[in-house]
Amino acid sequence: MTCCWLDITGVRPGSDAAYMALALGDALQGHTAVRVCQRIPGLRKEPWTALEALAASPPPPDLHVPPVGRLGLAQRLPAPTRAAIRRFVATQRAALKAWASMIHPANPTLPPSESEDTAAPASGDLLLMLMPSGDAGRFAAAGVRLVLLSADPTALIRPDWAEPAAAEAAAIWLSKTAPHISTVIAWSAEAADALRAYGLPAPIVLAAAASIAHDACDEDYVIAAGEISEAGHTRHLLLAWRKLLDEMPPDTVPPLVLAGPIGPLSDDVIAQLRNSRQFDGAMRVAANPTAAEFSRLLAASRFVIAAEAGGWGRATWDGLAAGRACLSSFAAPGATAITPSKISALADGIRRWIETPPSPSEPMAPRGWSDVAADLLKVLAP
Amino acid sequence: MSRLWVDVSDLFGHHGAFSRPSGIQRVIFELGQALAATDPDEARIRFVRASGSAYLPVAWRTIAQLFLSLTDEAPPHQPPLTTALQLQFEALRALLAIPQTLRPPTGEHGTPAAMERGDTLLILGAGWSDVGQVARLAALRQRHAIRIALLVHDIIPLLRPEWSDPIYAARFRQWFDGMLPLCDRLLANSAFTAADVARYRRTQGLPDCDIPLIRLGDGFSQAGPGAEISHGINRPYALVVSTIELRKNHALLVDAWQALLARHGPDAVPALVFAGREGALSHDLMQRLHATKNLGGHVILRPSASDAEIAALYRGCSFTVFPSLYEGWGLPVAESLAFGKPCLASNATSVPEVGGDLASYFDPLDLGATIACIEAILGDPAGLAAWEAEIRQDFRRTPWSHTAEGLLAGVA
Repeated sequence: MTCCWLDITGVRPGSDAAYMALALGDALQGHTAVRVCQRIPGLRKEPWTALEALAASPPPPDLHVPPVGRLGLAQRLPAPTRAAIRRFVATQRAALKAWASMIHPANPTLPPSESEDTAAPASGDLLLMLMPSGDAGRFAAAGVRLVLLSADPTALIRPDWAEPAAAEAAAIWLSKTAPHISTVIAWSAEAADALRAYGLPAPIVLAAAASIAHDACDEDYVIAAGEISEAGHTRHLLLAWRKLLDEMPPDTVPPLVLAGPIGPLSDDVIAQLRNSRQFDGAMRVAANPTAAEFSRLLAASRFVIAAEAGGWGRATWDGLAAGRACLSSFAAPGATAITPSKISALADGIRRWIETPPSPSEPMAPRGWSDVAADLLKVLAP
Repeated sequence: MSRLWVDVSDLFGHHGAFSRPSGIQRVIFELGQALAATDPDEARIRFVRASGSAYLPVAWRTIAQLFLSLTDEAPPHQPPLTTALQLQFEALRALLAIPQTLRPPTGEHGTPAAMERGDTLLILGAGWSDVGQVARLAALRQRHAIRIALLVHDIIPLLRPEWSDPIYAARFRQWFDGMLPLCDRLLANSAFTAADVARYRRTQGLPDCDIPLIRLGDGFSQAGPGAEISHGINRPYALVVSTIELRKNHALLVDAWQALLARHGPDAVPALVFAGREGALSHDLMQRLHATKNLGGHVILRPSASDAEIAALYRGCSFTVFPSLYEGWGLPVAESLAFGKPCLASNATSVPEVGGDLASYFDPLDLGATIACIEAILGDPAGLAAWEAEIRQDFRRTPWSHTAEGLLAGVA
């Protein structure tokens, strides 16, 4: 019997890709044998709990602003002394950066598990790689079929939006693994177009699922659902919301809830939220929510903004499944298209929906992950 | 005869913390130099720096030497190990310099400035970095009945707190709220800043007041023709002069250049030169640049360019870009025009006041419009040449001496 090796190499803890790994892995178990593994450097079996741990939400970042009085002692120092200390800190920071640039960053994935349970997939088995990461080409020689699920192709199609280590791992994957790939699964036509440019086998586009029960909530807010990161266009959303706060009477602008996993290149976004005390209360951050929290937040929102790049459109599908109107950069039937980098137009679109709320839509009938797993196995059938 | 005392404490503070001047320090120096030229005997205009609860007189030549040390030649490009060792050495030197700051400063007279009734103390710089300033000014005002004038560069930390460290923003608010009732005269560098200040005064329950505009000068005096050097870039490039920080919106240009390179190919797209050090909220952008190897070499960083090198970069560029999201003025736009170079500038806040009809503007919140604006230039070399000729013919420089005259009239 064919075995599916769910390869979680390079998957960031708490990310949408991690969520997909758990949901899809769980669903595949109903159809075939599934084993979780990662490549460090050989193929190593991981316990199912490692997958659950990967999908669990990491703690949210600290948005607390320290009291200004914290620097009471520093403020009593003469100005030239404070300036000299600042200069020392700045130059030492520059020196450390120069030293650091001479050393390669480490790959930030799961730490090696305690057991060294190496694995040898058999000929005909499927190696389902969630991320383009590292070298898996040698397994093809043993008759293993290599499949890219591209749960998050950002590191491949926009390396500048990825952690440097992830971009580096994707570059290795492209040169060493890509020539041996038998099937590519994409989750949107746009992602398929971007992946096709690499000369990979024609990507097969599957629709993902949204199937979590929704609870009601009375608060009135707009939700920006999706990864808090450069790829999630959070920088653009903050500028758009600032524009709304500038141009509209403040009491007419509902709070914006930023809900999603904290992704790469989010340091400056988090710093802005911290600096402004979350835009003086005009924004709230629900960082790294659990799946149930994420779902509840979507269901109770006035409408959903989903500025997603690559990925499988989790926020859009979940928003539509909750019956929320969606402004989305992920092409999905029923969602209204936006281009997040056109911030003025994005702000105009949001403003229109605030002033004239969109009609509530019928919740999209969600596809269960089991359906997705069945479709996946169908297209991968030899 | 009443005197004008000009507070230059900010230059000394900046010198302790940074190796290059920012826009405000440049304004202090250029304006101070122009003011000093109107009164070489220092009979009417004197310069002072804060020292504890008093102000000490400082000779202009000391100030000039200090500023020149911020604008001297940059070290040549070198291997990473050498850079790291040099930076580490510089850090150690900075550490050892801390105890020296507790001794009395040199290059200034030891007795406090003899301010008298009717004199004016002019604050030109970033006064919020001088924590004791408000208390010192209140005491001076009460003791000597002097007048206080403040040139406001911007109040961005009050209006866009997300771009400032909260401690810095709180200090700015405390300083500005303390200064407003003390100031007999507020001056602004643009109509936009004046309007921001007027709005803020109203929110504080303060009455409206006249806020004269002081048109800042163009260009910088330390980089005349005699200082011309090679910029070392052997292909066409667009130039951005400013600290690399989120507010300055360099990320928009990185996005635009990525799109341009994908559409037109590397040979058809000029390089993009960022002349300026890394500043606040630039971490994510620098990581993007690192990940793409500076867009395959298309982005060139000049973090510690001297004035002479910046002048050379202006002279050698095809055009300049200034995509800032928020400004009080926009000195690089004026500098670009002063060097005869076309400038594609943000249409936000004060920037159109600087470039007038001679710059071309785009919405810094619209990537598509920005790309279209750049593509229009790249596709029309004759139009770019005609634009450059128009600037050379029509641009009327504002010498810093005019700024000084306006300032003297404004504080009178």
